[in-house]
Amino acid sequence: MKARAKQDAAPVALSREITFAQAINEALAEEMRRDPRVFVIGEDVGEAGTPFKVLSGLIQEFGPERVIDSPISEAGITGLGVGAAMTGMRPVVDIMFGDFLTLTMDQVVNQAAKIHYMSGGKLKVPMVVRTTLGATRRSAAQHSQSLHALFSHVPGLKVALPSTPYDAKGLLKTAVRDDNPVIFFEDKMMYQLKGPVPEEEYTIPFGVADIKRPGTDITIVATSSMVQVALAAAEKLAGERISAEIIDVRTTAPLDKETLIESAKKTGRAMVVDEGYERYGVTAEIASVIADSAFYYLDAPVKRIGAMHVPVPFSPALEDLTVPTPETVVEAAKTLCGRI
Amino acid sequence: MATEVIMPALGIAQEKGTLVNWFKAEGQPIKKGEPLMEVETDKATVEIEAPASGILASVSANPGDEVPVGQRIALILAPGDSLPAESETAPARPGVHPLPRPLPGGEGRGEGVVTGKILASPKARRIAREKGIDLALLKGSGPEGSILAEDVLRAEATPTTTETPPPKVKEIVSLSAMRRIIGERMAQSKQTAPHFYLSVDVDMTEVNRKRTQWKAEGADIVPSINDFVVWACAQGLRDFPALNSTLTERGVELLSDINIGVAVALEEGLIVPVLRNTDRLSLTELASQSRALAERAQRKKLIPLDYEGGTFTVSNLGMFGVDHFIAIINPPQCAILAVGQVARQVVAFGEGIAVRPMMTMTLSADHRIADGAIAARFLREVKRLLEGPEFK
Repeated sequence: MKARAKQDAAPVALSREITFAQAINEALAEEMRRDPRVFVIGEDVGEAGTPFKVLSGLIQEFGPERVIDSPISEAGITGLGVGAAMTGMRPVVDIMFGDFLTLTMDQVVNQAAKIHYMSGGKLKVPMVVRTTLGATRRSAAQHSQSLHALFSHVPGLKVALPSTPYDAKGLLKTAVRDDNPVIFFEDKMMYQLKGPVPEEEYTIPFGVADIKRPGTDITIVATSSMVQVALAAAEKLAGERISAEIIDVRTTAPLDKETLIESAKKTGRAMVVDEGYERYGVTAEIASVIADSAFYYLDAPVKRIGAMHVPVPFSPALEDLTVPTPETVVEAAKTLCGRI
Repeated sequence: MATEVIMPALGIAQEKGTLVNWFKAEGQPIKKGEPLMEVETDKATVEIEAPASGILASVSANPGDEVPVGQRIALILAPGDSLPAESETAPARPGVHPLPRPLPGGEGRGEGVVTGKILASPKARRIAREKGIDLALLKGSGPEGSILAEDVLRAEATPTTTETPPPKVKEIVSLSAMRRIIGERMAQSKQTAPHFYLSVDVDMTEVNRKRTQWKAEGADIVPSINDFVVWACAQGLRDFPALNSTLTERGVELLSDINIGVAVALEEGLIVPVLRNTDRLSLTELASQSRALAERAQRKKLIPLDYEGGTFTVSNLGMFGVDHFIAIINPPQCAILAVGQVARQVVAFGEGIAVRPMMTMTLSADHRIADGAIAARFLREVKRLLEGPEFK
């Protein structure tokens, strides 16, 4: 059993609120100031500060040698990151859309994830691959996927999925300091989400889930922006006298099984919400963990809600139907609780 | 040619046997004479050997199943054999299918019988098990009428009647075959045999003296107090055949063999191993045989021959400090002797009083066969043998 970190929930009364994008920006700036080995490389990360304006201002402070605009070659810059990490640097590779991770697969899956093991521990790859996930931006099938399950599947990789500005900053700082390759997924639809973030230094450990809202009737486990969807659903469910407990896993690898299992044991009902494809997805793994260890405490089968098994459509009317929403979560929760 | 594997009869009056275990799985090869299965009767657990060599097939009894004696529970297929068609399978004896159980109050799924599995959530099942609540008695509020945790908790909170709730069940222990048989036989005895009881006090000075003497002589086996009692009963029964008899439809069968059973307490019940032709045994032979039987009983290694054919029973609770008790006749026998402890008592002795080692024996006898006077005379004879010095 791992030790639980004490400080991992946002303090109650924080005067300062910043956006998710600002939280990422701050985390990187602080880490770059702290450690000269940290550098950023990616397409349009320099003057443009990424299309999402997440890295604005970094090139002014750290210069083009540490905020490197790269050619359009995800495989190339990721390979460069692996080599730099092996030789002592701490690269943060920016992959603009998570869909483009498919171009980095050999570098990430066969190289970064394996080298520490295959070198008998002599080499390490302290690299962060920052990328995006999430649909409903009208970006069509090649710019809207949530492919974090692919990386959660591979031994040797860590996968972070922050759901709030506070978590984004704390988890990214931990990712930069981690000696293992970390794939860091940011939902592009959350960049403008505001939330409390303290001025002072903090980090959030990996493998520690966060109970975003306590409840007694049903456990809803969620990742990334689906935590926000689940919280909205919980608010609606409260109006129907169903008390939902919302758990944010924060990292799928490592996964904090204990918190999920304990919550499911407490409520007797569980569902998992994730924006990745439902089939063979993160929801399946988490549901299985709960079913395995909380079986005799469950009053209903564990329900999964993920993205529909289709290429994400460009049509807004259709696209919105493919991913979980507060309404679909509410409906599923009510069914599980026998209210429909 | 396929060989049938049947539930064997291990005892004379055995109707059913419980399959404890298969040593081979279906489809596995087995050789004739290899252990095939373990079967529990009301008295003992016995390993059964394979009746033929071949492949085990058509297994129809699972561990824990109670099966009528003679019913086919598997086949052993010789090379080249194929499974017989369904119509060839041996018909089960009538009356072995459990009756469908009606739901209380006609509630539930409308059919009036439970035909399949009870639908209940894992959580409901766990809570019901922990609290000893019978899911079959509950009505579910979940999907398809399944029972949910809250249904179980509600059932626990609301007693079924307005009267005070029954005591809470901590644990349900299912009846072992032995427990059930003891219950059935004792109930049968008390319901059919009109018992009467006679008690007598025995001065055990001579028995004690003899035992002390044998001990001092360094005898291999010093018979126990109970061995003396059994010996005295066996000798006494020669003159009182009515008490060594069985009531049948033909009349009272006076038995020529005197086979005395000695009740042995086990953790899960009791068993009565039998000393054959007890009246022809010397005290030392008797002691040695009874010791061996008791030891086999404790190790559950008795074979049916060891516990069948008893004609009279002795039950002794003296080792537990019991002074006096009365026993239930072990059917189809006519009588049983309940023996208490030997304790020093102040008694009238000669013209004065003395402290003597005394023991109380109580005979229970079947009034359909014997009357008080016969039983009294028998008891007086047993007392005389125990008090007299002519032990052999």
